[in-house]
Amino acid sequence: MGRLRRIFRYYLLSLKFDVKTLFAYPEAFWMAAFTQPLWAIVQMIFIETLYGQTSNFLGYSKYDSYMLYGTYKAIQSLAVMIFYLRLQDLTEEIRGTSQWSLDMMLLKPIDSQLFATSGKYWLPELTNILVGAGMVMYGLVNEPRMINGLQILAYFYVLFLALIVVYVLYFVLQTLLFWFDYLQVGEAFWIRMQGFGKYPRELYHGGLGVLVNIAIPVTLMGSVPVEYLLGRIPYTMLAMYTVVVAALFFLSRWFWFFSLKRYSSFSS
Amino acid sequence: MKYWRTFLLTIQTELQYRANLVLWIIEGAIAPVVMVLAWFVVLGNRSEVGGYTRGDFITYYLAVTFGWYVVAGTFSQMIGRAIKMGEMNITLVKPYNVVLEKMVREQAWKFISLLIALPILAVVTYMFRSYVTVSLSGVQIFMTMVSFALGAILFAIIEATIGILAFWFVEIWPIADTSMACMNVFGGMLAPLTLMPIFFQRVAAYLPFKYVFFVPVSMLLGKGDNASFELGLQVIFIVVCFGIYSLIWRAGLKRYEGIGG
Repeated sequence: MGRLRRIFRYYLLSLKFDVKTLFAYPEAFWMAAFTQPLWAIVQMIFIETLYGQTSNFLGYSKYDSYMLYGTYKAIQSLAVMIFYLRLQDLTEEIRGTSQWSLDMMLLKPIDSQLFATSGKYWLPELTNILVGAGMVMYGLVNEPRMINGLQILAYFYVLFLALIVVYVLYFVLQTLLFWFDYLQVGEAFWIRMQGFGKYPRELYHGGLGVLVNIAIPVTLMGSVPVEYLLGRIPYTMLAMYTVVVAALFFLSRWFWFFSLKRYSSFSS
Repeated sequence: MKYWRTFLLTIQTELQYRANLVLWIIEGAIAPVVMVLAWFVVLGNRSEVGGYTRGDFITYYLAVTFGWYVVAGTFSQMIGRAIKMGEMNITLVKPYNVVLEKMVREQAWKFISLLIALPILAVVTYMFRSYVTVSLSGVQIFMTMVSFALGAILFAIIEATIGILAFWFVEIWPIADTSMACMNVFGGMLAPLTLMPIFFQRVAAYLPFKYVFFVPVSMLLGKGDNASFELGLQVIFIVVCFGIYSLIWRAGLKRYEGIGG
């Protein structure tokens, strides 16, 4: 219990610190807050372009697609807000070119994975989360339907699983730095892989389908939760998703500790 | 010669990180693959959508993806950093332009990436050989190549202009991000412009982004309505954008206070 309280205190203090930084440099926040939702607008234009040519896209109406993308955007932005900064810094910490050395992180009386990969917040993403939530509401309002409590619960549970998948994906990519001298592409690769989550899961077949629907289920970010919300997937599938995501998380954690053995410190 | 040396040096550096280059190419190919899959779904049993067949969609996104290595790049941030960090101080007193140097470095990176990407392009084209059909006359091929070259010049000027805005702004990434979003929508990187809602097609006609990617790729597909007119417009946009760039550069230099370097 004491350990949990310490972790909670760590996250709370980090958040307080980031909010203070935000008030010290509000320009950066506002610039990011206004420009980042642009990519949501780009995708909305793509949705309008697609539905200018068809009325049904793999069983999704235009408003279903808005819900799908809104869900994807909200969960992606939440992941960026919570994990992005620390995970982005990790490459330089491993290489020893950051102000913060990984040695320092490993010596703290807190779980090394937790400390090295979370606890620094990118608050401008709040606008993207709101944009995503707004798109979900827009889709629901324009095409009203009956949704029960269980469907809503399943929706949020899948979002929680999606958050873990997005985290694990970036975490593994960045941990690869223990094995490669230089791998600048991690962040871009992470963002691109998430891109598979922007579309219905039925879009992907064969090996690609297995990869993005089961092995690294990025479709949990949009398509799967929306289908739960609309009551289109059996609840039994939740067990499979839970097992896959748990396995991914524990594998990534194992990979982190395994890779740490390879880490050789220089200067700190 | 001095820029040529920079080009060669950057190539040597980039060759040290070959795994990184290959991963960048895979990363760059993911989005177009998804786009093609999406358009295939929209096509369904139809032979074409808005004048685009399956082959056209594949060729379009292939051209955009691999054309990126010829036309585009991301050097505005490098220019911005050179201004922000005072790196420019050294170059100001030498017969050496920091903007050109960053441009050349980017071209070297792209050149190596393109060389690695070419075999992938060949394999993909072979896999979809029954769909991909490009039949152009000698004149059309020449016009397409000229159009790609003009698109590259226009893109370089836009990037350089964003980069030198660092004379006024501490962070230029939001501007670069906005420009990239515009390039996606109005430049046809997201989807062929002629399939987009009519409002965006109208706005795109008055912006330079369309002339970076969409015009050369349309020529490659043989869909350019009036190729020489489009080439003329590309030249006009280059002249206008370069004029704007020159004005900003001169005003920026007067404002510049070098720290460090």
